[in-house]
Amino acid sequence: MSAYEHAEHIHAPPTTFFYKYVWSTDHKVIAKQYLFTAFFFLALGGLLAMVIRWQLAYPFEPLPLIGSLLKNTFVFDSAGSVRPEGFNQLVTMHGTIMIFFVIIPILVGAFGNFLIPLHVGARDVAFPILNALSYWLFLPAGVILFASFFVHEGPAAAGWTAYPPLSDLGPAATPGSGTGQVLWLVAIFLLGFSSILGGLNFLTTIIKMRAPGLTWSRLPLVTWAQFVTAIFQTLATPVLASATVMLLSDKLLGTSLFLPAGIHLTGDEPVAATGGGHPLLWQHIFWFYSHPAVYILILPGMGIASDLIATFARKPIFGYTAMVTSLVGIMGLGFIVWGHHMFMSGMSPAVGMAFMTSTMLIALPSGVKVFNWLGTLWNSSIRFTVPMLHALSFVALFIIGGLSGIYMAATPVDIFIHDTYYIVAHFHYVVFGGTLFAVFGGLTFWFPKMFGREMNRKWGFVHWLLTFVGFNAAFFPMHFLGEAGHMRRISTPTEYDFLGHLQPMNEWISWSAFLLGAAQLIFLVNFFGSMGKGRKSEANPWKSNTLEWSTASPVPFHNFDRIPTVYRGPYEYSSSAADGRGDWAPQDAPPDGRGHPAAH
Amino acid sequence: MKKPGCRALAAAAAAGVFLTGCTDMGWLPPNLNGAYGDTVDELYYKIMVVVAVTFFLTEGLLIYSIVRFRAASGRRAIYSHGSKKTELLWSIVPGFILLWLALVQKDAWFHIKSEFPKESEAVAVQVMPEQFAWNFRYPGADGAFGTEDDLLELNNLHVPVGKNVVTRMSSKDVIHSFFIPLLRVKQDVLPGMMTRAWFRADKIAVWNLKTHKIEYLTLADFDARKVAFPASTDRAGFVGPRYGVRNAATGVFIPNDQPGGKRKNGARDIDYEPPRDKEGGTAVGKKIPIAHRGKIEDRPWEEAEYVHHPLDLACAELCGLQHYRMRGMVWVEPEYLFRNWLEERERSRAQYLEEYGESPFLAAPKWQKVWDGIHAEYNGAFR
Repeated sequence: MSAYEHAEHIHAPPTTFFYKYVWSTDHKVIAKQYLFTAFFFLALGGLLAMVIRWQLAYPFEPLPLIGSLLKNTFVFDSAGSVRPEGFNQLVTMHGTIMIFFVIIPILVGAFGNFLIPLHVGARDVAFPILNALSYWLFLPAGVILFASFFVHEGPAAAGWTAYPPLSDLGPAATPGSGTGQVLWLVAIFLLGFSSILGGLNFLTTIIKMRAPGLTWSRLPLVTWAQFVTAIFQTLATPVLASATVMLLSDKLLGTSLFLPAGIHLTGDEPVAATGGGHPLLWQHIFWFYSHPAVYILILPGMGIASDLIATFARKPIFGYTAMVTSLVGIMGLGFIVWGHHMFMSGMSPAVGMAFMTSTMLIALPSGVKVFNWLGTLWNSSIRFTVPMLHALSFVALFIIGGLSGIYMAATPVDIFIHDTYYIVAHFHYVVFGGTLFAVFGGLTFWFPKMFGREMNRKWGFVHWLLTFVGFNAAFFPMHFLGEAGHMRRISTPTEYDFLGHLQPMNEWISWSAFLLGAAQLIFLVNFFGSMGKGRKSEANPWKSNTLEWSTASPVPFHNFDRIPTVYRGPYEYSSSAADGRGDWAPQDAPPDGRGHPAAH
Repeated sequence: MKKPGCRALAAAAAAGVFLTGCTDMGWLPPNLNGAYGDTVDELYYKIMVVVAVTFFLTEGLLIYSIVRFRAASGRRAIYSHGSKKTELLWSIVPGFILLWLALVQKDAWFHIKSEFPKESEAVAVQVMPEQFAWNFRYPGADGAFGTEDDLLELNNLHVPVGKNVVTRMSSKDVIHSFFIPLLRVKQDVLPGMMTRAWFRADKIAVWNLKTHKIEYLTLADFDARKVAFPASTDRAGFVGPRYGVRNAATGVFIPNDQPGGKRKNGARDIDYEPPRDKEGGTAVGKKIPIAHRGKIEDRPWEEAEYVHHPLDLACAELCGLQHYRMRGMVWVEPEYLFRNWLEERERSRAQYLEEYGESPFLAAPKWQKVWDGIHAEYNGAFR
């Protein structure tokens, strides 16, 4: 028995419903809490996107069914058509929900929680109670944001970036800039705390709780990605939290941190309580967090894709060290590129030049990752499972999202495409085409570990196919819209002569988006259906190497019967170490070639 | 090129360059900015070549690998952790390409955002957007802002063709963005600070009355043609622009206030209608101002070949509930028409002054008080 095992203290599993499912400190339950909450918001954010697309395809035409059900609300007028102010609120809430309440909670809250302790061979995270607290800060944040749909004048309407003065001046500036915006800020503040606590927890767990033999160079890339993401969360999120407090102070305490003197809305006199502040201050603070947040949105996805590609290519990751170096490189550069969101803001052109150079350079580590995924596939033996199809789609679509980012990095070119649909195409290729495909792949892959059953493969394939087709049909043409100068947040492009000829394309994009939305119902039905009726899974159905596959499916409360000892890296597929076992070599299988329990 | 890999690489690169040309299906709108518009577009295409080559190379390799290395009975992946040489190659080469891409932007970026033309030699305009309109101020005859002879215009920016225009901008309320797509101009406009933009429009937008399409004419072409004006401007002329649905086969236009004049997707065609008589019918032979060979003369409207048409000015920054309606119009016109317009505005200002005893511009719009109260120091620079 190792010193490690002597030191550990194993708790009995909780027996009451409250401690088992509500105030649970089990990282696996907390992961599922994040996941199911994020599913709710994914459905909500997706529905908002559908309404947005309806308006863009058929401006101010009544929305069938939903429009008549929700007429005379902040979104719809008495005819069931989208109101202009409602459109701004839809866009704001879609972005906010998808970024803060879907992607980050799934990637970090669900995958991070579920995988990190299993990947490091621990029984839980370092601070289980803090972990529960993270979720219980996240949930009220979601409830508060959701509640903002029901307040007078509806939710926030200043975009997910909440630029002052629009977000600062109250309803006189725009409906939703009053109570809705305050609730938005409180929700983001709480979410920020949840994120900081989660980041600290993960950092401590990975640094201090790795199983014997699990050196840094033997960590799965998904855990490395979570490690780097946790650094981002810990260092960047406090800046966002501060920004929200500052804006709340403007709105509730009468300060004017973001408001210069002399702002006139209506009436002869300037708006009271302005002066001394500057709207660009918010942009700097906001993007100092939110550009790293873009990497929080993609790095764990890159980690998931790396794990899936190695597993189903049956080959070690090409250039493991370079992959880790790239992650660290992205982290370092990620803190000094925020200004590229502000090229048109009036910032000094010299500063813009510096941000352009750093932004160009950050494409390099992302490029290295792509090349290394391709290197991994070279001379491999690819199994086209549903998770692998998603991982391959991730690579294919991330290439497009990454390459289109170069246009925005180039300052003179950005003059034209800034705030156009080119940006919308770019970030959806990264966040949906990249991250969400990784999420679908990861959920299908680790579903057996979560629930002890497998998802239906046929419906998984149908979902992947429709999602891949629907996604590309919806988002690729947006590059053309952007190239034509189509502004990103207008509800009615037909107001402008130079956009008139693009309307059939807007229609096409909308119908493709409806297909994409409908395809997600297949996923949800498959997911929840398989939880109860899926085929029971063996411990290691994918013949994978990392530690979670060495324990039972579903993972028991204490994770491992014995804390495993790690003998090799996570991707030793088709190596001599696998002899007698097939083509995989579990990380905890002793090097003398003896069989591994999970292999049988 | 002895190795098949090199040939594949070359083929992918060639395909990339070729397909780059094919993918430019004219999505970029026409470019009328003679000062730096071409530079912006050239840099766009330069990046597109690099991106297209990389795209076809990487996606090609991905598809090739998926097909070539799919699992088959008896196939076992080749155990390998990679190759340091390959990794170095595909780190260093893209690194240099990216640095090169950054460097080639530098001159254009500083030219556009820092090297403003001398304002004394350009047309200077102050711009103050608000929810939801664009206010423009011209310096008037004395060439100075903040004085009694300033000329104000709402939503219509008039600029002479072929001459540099410098805009000094500050917002009255929230953040707006001054975006003229066909001039490749975009600049955020914030309250409390001044931002600047400049451009030179080298072509004039007109509506071709025969083809029912917008065209962009050089000054020489414009002068050679007979161009009328919309009645919505200070000059009498054609009614429009009107919006509705044009039957592609018959050419018949149905305005959007009549049955059949709207499409469900909102796409709308443009039309200009001949001047009307008092009964609402077409005023046959009615004389209207028509520009031709450098002067305006009253001629029968039937002689007109074109109608002067504005460029769109949009706000690219979310600015409130009617953000989508922040449409302004940019009238690019020959210098003599621009001067003529300024004189016309001056005449109407003087007339108002005579009738009501005060300047309509100094008394009415609040934004001027805002600008002169906060940004008075920016007025002097124009003198």
